[in-house]
Amino acid sequence: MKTILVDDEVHALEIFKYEAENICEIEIIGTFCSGREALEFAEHNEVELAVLDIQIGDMDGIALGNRLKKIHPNIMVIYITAHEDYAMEAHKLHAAAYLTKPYSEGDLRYAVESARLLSKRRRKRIFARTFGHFDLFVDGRPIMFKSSKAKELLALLIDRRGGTVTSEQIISVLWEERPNDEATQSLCSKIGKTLQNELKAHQAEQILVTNRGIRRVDTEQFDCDLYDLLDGDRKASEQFIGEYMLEYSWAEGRMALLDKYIGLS
Amino acid sequence: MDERELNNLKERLMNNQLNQHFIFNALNTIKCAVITDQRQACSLVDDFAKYLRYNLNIKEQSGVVSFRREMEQVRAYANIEMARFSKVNVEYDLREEDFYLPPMSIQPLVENAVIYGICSSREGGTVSIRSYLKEGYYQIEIADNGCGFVPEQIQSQKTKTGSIENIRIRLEELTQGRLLVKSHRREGTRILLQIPEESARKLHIPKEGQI
Repeated sequence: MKTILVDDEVHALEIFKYEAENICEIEIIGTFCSGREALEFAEHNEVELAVLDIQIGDMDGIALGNRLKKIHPNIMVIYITAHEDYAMEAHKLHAAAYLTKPYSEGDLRYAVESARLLSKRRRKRIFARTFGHFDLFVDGRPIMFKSSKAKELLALLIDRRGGTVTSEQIISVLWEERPNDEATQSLCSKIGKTLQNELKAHQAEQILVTNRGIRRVDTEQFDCDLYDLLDGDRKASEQFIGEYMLEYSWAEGRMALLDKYIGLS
Repeated sequence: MDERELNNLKERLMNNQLNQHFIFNALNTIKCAVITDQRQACSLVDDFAKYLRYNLNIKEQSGVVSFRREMEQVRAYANIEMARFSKVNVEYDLREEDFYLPPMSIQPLVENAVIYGICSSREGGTVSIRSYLKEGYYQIEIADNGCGFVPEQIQSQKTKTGSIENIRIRLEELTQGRLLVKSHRREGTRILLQIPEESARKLHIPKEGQI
C-alpha cells in the first residue's frame, strides 16, 4: 500500500518507520512537513494510505485529509493526535481512523484496519465481514447483537447473497431440530422482527427487505468481503485464509467451495 | 479574591488541554530519541521529570515561587519542544533571577508562543525570554517572531485568553504586577510582565516545604 506521512515533527518519520517495519503492506513512498507539499505530491502520484498529524504547521490535518480524498477518492486516512479531545470526539462520530501518540505496532495495525473499513471500494457505511467470524460493521464499529438468533438470520441472508429465503427455509437451517409448525413459525417471525429492530437501532434497517414472510438482503446497501471476493477483488481474496462464518455450521458448505475457488484462481 | 479562588485559577491553567497534549507529545519525542540518540533521550527524560515534578509540587502550594525555579520549568519545557520541532528556537537573556512571582506565569506564555506563534509558521522562529530590573519594576519579556495575532482574537481564542487573563489576574492579586501584550500579524508577539520591586522581593512562606 503506497503510504505517505505528513507531520512537521523532527522524528515522526523515524517512529513511523520503526513501528511499521513489520507491517509489510505499508510501503512508505513519501514524507512531508507541510500539507501543501503533500497535496502537490498526491496530485502527481498514486497514494493509497495517508498518515496525517492532526495539526501540521497552520494546516488542520482533517482538512488535509478531506482534500486528499478529493484527489484520490479511495484513499485511506489515519490521523495522529497526542490526545483525544473535543475536536477528535466530534470526528469519532463521523468515524475517523486515528492513532494516539506514542503508538505501538499493534496500534498502527488496528488503525490501518479501521481506515480500510472506512474507505471500502464503494464507500458504504455498512460492511458485512464474513471471513473468520461474522460481524456487521456500521461506520467502522461492529453491532453487538442482543439476539444471537437474529444475528444468525442476518448471516444466513447475507450468505444467500440477496436471494430470497422463505420462512420454511429459514426454519430448516436455524431451527433444524424443530418441526415447521405454528409455534416455530411464530418464533421465526419474532426473530425477524427482532433483527429489524436491532438494525434500526443502528440506522441499518435498509439492508433487510421483508415481503410477506419472504426475506432477503439488499446487496446495494452494504459492502461485503464475500461479495468482493466473488467479484474478483484481489484484496478480498488475499484476506480470505480459509475461514468463513466460523460460528455457523451451515456455512461449512460455502467455506469448502470458497477454498476450492481460491485454489483455482 | 481569596486564596481558594486564586488556587482554582492556578489549577485551571494546569489542567488545560495544552498540558495534556504536551505530556503525550513529550513521551513521543522521548520515544523517538530512544531510537535515534540515546544521550538525548536521557536528557529529555530528565527534562520531562523536572516538568512533571514542578507541576505536581505547585499543586500543593499557594503563593509565589522564585523566578529561578519557574525558569527551570520553562527550560525543561523548551528543551522538549526544541527536540520535537527543528524550527523552534528558545533563547534566554536573564539579568535578574532573584525575585518572586506567581507560579505558572511564564511557561504557559512560552507555550502559547511556541504553539500559536511559531509552530503555525512554516519557517518557524525564536522565542526570547528576557528579565531585567527597570524603573522600580522587575520586567519579564516573552517575545516571539512568529505569526502574531490580532488583539480582538484574545476574546475569541479560548486557550490563549485562558492563560493570558489567568496570569494577569494572579499577577495583580499576588504581586500588584501587570501584564501587557503587543502583537502584530506576521511580526510576532511581545508580552511584558512587570512586578513592583517591593512585592517581587517578598516571599510568601509556602505551607508545606518548598518547591
